[in-house]
Amino acid sequence: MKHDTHDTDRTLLDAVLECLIPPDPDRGIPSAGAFGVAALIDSARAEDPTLDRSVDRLLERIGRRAEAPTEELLRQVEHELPADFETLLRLTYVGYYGQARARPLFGLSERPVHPHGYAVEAESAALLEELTAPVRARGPVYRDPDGAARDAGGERESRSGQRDRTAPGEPTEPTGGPGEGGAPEREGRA
Amino acid sequence: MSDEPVDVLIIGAGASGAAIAWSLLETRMRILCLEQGPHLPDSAYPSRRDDYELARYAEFSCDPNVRRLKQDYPINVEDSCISPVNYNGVGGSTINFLGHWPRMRPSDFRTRSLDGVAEDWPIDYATLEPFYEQNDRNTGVSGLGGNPAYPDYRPELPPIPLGRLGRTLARGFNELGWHWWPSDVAILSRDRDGRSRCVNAGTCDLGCAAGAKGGTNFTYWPILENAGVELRTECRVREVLVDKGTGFARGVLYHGPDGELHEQRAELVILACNGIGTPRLLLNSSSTLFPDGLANRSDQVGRNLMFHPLTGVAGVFDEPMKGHEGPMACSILSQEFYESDPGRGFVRGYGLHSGRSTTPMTFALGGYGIDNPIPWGQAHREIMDEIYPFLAGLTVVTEDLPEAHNRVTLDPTLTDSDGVPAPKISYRLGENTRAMLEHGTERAVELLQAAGARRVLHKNSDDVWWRAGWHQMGTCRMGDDPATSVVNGWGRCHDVKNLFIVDGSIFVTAGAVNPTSTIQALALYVGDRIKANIANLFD
Repeated sequence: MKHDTHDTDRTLLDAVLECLIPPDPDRGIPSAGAFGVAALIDSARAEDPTLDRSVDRLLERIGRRAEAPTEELLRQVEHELPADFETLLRLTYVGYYGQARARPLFGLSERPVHPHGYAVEAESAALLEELTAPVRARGPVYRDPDGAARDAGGERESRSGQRDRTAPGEPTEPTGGPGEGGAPEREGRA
Repeated sequence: MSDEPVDVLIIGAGASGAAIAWSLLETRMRILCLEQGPHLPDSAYPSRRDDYELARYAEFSCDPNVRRLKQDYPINVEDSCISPVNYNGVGGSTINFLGHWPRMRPSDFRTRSLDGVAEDWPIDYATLEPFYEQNDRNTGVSGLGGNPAYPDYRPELPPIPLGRLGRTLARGFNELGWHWWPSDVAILSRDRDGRSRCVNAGTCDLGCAAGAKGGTNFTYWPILENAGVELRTECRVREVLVDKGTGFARGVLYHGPDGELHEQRAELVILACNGIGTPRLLLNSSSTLFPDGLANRSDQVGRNLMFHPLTGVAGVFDEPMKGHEGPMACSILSQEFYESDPGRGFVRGYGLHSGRSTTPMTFALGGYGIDNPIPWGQAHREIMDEIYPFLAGLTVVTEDLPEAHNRVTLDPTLTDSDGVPAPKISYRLGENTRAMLEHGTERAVELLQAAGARRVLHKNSDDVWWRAGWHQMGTCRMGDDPATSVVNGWGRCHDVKNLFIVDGSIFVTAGAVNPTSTIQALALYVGDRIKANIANLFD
């Protein structure tokens, strides 16, 4: 059965939502009250009696006060009914940000899902080379105790202990490395 | 549904079950895989839906205790600071994992010898290396060769874009002279084998509709099914059966889609149910021969549970970081603090993973895997307008050491929808881990400041990520000594010689990297050993 918030409750709920997610007129960002969140909360209440009771308790407690909801008043109620308040807060965030039209307000595409996604340009090989150059210049930073034993036995000459001083994507030449001593090349800067 | 005996019975169609099935294809043995979840078509993934974020808190939550689908088993987490997460279906947790694909490092296999903690593995990095390479070829891996943190190897595909966020952090690492490298990912940067490259939607946890992410539903299973491997879905194994005379596994009892119990006999049984599901199944398979659980004469089944406890630190930058563009977990990875250093006050180490920011709804509810809504009121306005778009974060991913008291047991009353006893997790952070988290948080703050953050946000280091139990390891560990380990160096149970385990439960140590690459390499290795020893496999 569809839950219809009584007119008074809806007015009160909208006022509460206005406080939970206030607007930012300069950026054209609406409040939760103006963004239709109350209707979504009603739908959720209709499907879940536990949610419904939580919101009812909260609105009843807020409605007892003579003044219109303010942030200060809601903080008092949050202190008095923390679980119910969190329930409403979660519903509000889900109802607000779950709407596709909310996403562009925060820099996202309205419909970023497959197959659209986002066009993100890959870094060029030159940029990757430039960025990773200091890392490569330090040489290996791992320990390979078994590599030392293997290399000594001639079992596995090319797998471990290679230093890479080439550009990304270019072939490497074995030039020795941690396999020679089995100790960290460099550790402990913290 | 035939109940004819099969040669090989694999329990679980996730990362490791698919990999070992592939390895055993060439034997021409009859292979059957039982999977408790369904075979979800990619058209059903929330990553195609406009309301995709809602699914993250409902049927596609990473937490089975939230999803509560028929195929999910509940997990009692009252005695744990980390909640295990997973997915049950064909592909297993590779359906909703984030595709980060680092390998373990050589020292990870030698923690006792090098650092005096935990145990050495009975195998080493070099043994696994060809299987890492094979698995990478089967999966499709993007990355950049020449990472000085590893013995040399070359991912096949170029790295996925670092994006502004990754480049900004990389410059910070360079400023401090710390290691970093573009992340290896099981996510395609180019179209490959009929799968499309990543479209940077940032919906990795909701099933990758493009097939760019290397879930085994896209990589291994199409090949396996074409080759004749039988896959029975919605079949939940209740118990592994043991022949009282021989002490060998003779098959399993399982609940079919009809809920009825069926018996399936097999010559060889392979468990691939992850680090929670496998010990649960063994403990549920007690008998007169194994009164404390199957293959548990060592009392090690379920013990030494390891996760990768993690915490996050975020920097607020002057420019929008566009963190929502790209795969969720992967841009760059620093292993500057991975190896032990006595001066740090802890042994072993951690990685600093660049996390991308998430979508507004997930952010407002506290972030991915966190239940802690951000402030409301005017503070909310400031956070969403002045902080959220400008965030770049680092996740401190620590190596967990095996501790016997961290374990999986059976809950005395909780059951799944078929009435099978559910697992209970008892887990607490060790002091070594706490010290690592504190150190890592301090280093992450330092890095973000070096990268130009105008403000840095972090929580108490004791406040670990709650839904961080992706990586479930150690609960049936490998070893040469049957008194202290469950399986031998190639995955065969010491106590039951035709019973193998191939998932993360056989890890001896955890490293500080995402384990799926290693789990699958291990499964291929175990498959290779089975083939090599086929003539006297059960001796």
